[in-house]
Amino acid sequence: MQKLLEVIDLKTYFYAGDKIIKAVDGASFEVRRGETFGIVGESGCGKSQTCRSVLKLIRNPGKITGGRILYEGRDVVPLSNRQMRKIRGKEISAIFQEPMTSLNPIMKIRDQIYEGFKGKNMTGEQKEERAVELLRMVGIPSPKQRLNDYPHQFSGGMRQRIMIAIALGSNPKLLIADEPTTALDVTIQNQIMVLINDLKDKMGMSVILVTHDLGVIAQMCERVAVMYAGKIVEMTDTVTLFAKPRHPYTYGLMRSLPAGGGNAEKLYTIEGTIPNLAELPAGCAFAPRCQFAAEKCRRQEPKPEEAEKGHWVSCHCLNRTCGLKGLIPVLK
Amino acid sequence: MEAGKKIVEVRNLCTEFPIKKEFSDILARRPEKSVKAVNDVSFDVYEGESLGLVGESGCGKSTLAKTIVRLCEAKAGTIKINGRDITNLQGKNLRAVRKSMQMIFQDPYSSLNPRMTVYETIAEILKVHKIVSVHEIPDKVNEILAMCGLNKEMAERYPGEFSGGQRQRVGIARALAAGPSVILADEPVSALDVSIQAQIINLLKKLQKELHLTMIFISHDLHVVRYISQRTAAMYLGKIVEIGSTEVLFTDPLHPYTGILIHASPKIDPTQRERSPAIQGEVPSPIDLPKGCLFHPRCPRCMEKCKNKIPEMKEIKEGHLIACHLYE
Amino acid sequence: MRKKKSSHKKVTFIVGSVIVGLVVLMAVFPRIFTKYNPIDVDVMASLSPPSLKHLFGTDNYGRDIFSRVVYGARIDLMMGVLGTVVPFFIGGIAGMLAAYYSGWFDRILIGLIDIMMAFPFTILVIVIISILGNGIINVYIALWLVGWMSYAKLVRGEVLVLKNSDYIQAARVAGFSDGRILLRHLLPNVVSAAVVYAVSDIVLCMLTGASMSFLGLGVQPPTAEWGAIMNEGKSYISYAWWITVLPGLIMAVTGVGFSLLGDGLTDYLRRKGR
Repeated sequence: MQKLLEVIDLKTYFYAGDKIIKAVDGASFEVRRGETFGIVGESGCGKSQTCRSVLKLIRNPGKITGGRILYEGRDVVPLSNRQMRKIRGKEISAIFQEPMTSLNPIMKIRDQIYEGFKGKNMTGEQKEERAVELLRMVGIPSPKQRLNDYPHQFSGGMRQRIMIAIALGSNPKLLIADEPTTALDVTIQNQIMVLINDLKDKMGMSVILVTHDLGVIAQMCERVAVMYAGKIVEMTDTVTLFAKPRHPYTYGLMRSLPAGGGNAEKLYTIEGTIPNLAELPAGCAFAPRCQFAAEKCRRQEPKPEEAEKGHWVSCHCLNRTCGLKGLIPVLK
Repeated sequence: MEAGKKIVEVRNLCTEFPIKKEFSDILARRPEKSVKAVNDVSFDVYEGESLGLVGESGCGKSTLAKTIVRLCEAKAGTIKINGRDITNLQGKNLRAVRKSMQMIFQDPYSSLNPRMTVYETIAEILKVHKIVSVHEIPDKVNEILAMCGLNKEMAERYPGEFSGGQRQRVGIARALAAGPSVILADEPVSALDVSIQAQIINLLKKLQKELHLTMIFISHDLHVVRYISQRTAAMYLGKIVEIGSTEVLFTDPLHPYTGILIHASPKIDPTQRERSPAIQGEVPSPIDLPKGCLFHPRCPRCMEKCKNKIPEMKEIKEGHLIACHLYE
Repeated sequence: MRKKKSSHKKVTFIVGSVIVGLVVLMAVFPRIFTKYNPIDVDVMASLSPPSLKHLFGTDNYGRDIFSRVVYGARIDLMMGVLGTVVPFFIGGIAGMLAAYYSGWFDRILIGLIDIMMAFPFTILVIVIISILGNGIINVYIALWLVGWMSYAKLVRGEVLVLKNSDYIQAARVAGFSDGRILLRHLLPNVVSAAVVYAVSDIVLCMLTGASMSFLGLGVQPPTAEWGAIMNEGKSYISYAWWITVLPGLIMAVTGVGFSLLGDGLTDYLRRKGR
């Protein structure tokens, strides 16, 4: 499959006084055409900053300090803001967690959708036709009448649908979805997941999905990257990840889910807390919480290795993690 | 479990929030409207068990908890704790009974007083309710903190210096300080990261077992409820639609809504993808409730009868109650 | 960059403290600043311009203006402080109780405040004094009657937000009495906003008090008070400007001092409150 986006050794740092916070520290991954690529991790692991870097929406005091982001083979890191705007919102669109704050509260839905059509020679009628089509596509009932409504007149789930409609207005090739279902109820989350999966297939676009929820990853993604403390610690296709996790952190995340352990008396826990990005330990950032940690882990930072074909893991203890059991049986 | 003593008995409980009248409403003499947040709810919680309460936002699960601990006024119905009717207690009597029912809140950042140290927060409860004599307070505080996985050095710090998981431990310690017999946990792990969530779930489960606590556990996360609760109740628009043992409810839900809820929660298995949504549409506004069964406009198995008659709660099997016309 | 900002804040705080400190010192120990008695008449020296002998010059009776200013500091500072502290307590308590219990008390209180606040502060004070009659005591009463409303409104707003916060709910669930919740849990969290306002309010009360004396409604001659001194000088302003201008300048500097102190205090409380 063809690569749409390739990120090579991306480094996004934030400067707070004399401290450097390495929000993203050497992330490399690719997104293929027509696939959903998931980035999963806990708060502060750098998953959202990775997306923002791809959109080049990093604000001061943050900066992309290294690496390349190749969109269709062209590096977007050195692009000026104006050049980037041509890509953002046309080739690459984004939806965020809280639909109420990402929609403009004093603008009609109609105008917010029309903004995506800028630069396309369209008559008023064509615009309205397209807007209605978009709203119908994301499942808004009586779309024609609702074009003149304001965001507050919609429920949370409906607002997220409108966000998606706006994002799709320009026929993007890549949709970046940052926690698109986190603020929603289960049944609505379920509807939105099915909707995005559907639209992705219909329009042939690629999706980068950022979430903390392994259930959402399982339901939506073809391939996944697991992030911890600014680094990608494991990356492979979704089925392999859930069947045979190789990084102790991935394993810990799965095992600590109440749904993962069956009726065990006690959930598996990853001891300790998420480290402070400004004061990371030497060596592997996960070592202080890792049950496999050896002396080497505290000294030397592991580099991504291809444990099996297409299964990248950054861990010194690969020989000991091959027997770890995932949440689903290994396919023959 | 069923044979145990009833600790909490709720009967026909209703909580309403009046909607402020507009001036035009007064002119037009429209009747006062209200949101029926809790609508004729009855259930029991037995000693030492954990009852899970699930449902989508706006279903009234939080309001139900707040009504039970008397943070919201009940409009009708009764609440009994340890056999004593507390529905209308006031002043001193209410304060005294409150030590037997405590609450754990969702947001570990807003639920602690930012200007009190952990020690002060817990010692205050011990002092007010005279749980131990004054000179025993420091030891007792340390004991409670240790139970919740916090060490002595943390006692003199302010909440602002803690991480989310540690704050939630403090919140739990505070709830336990008075030695309650019932704990109402309102989404206690929803704001936490996955790895921290597991630590807190284990803590709650351990404490429940060791202290023989009775717990009402509210969560929108069905996996968490399934893991922690022996019995589960599902709520929709202020009503309990089904209540029964967790295992039965999750493997063989009877009420159509419970089934949809379980079906909609994402399976952590990439080989079992959902191709169509579990249910269309959204929960309607709680102001103008539909006639008959509240779920009927969205129910895939709706019958003529459902549109007019409100279904009663009925015991289908031992300990398994359901409000649905399908099972009559 | 952050460091620079905080050191800048520190400087304003120190300047503010020094100014306020000097004024307080004047009020408490006026004798260390001047050897003249503020009401001693010296006709020979009347209307002499500022000099080393008379720093701020003298007035038409030959009284030393500087010593009148120094001795006047006590009354002006008292008006500022008492005019603030009493409303701070009355308004704070009223606002807290109203917001916590809501109901009819709250409705009456907020209605009253809304009506009263529709009038400008100074006008209200003048109206009350003209009803009660001239004199320093009546200036105090007027300041109190008008001043408490700002505190009531401020504290009420804070309490309305906080009383629904989780930790106050938790305190209620814990079975604490209303008194304990109000004093131990709400008060420490709402008081800082009121304190910050109070520091700037001292200036307002001082200026209003002085204005009343300037208008002849407050302190009566020959007592030394800044507004009164300025009033006495106003007929000579064309050839003896110092009688009016120099006390006015001192008053302005004092005002700036309190504002700077207030800024510093705000900053400190915010950092502490986090």
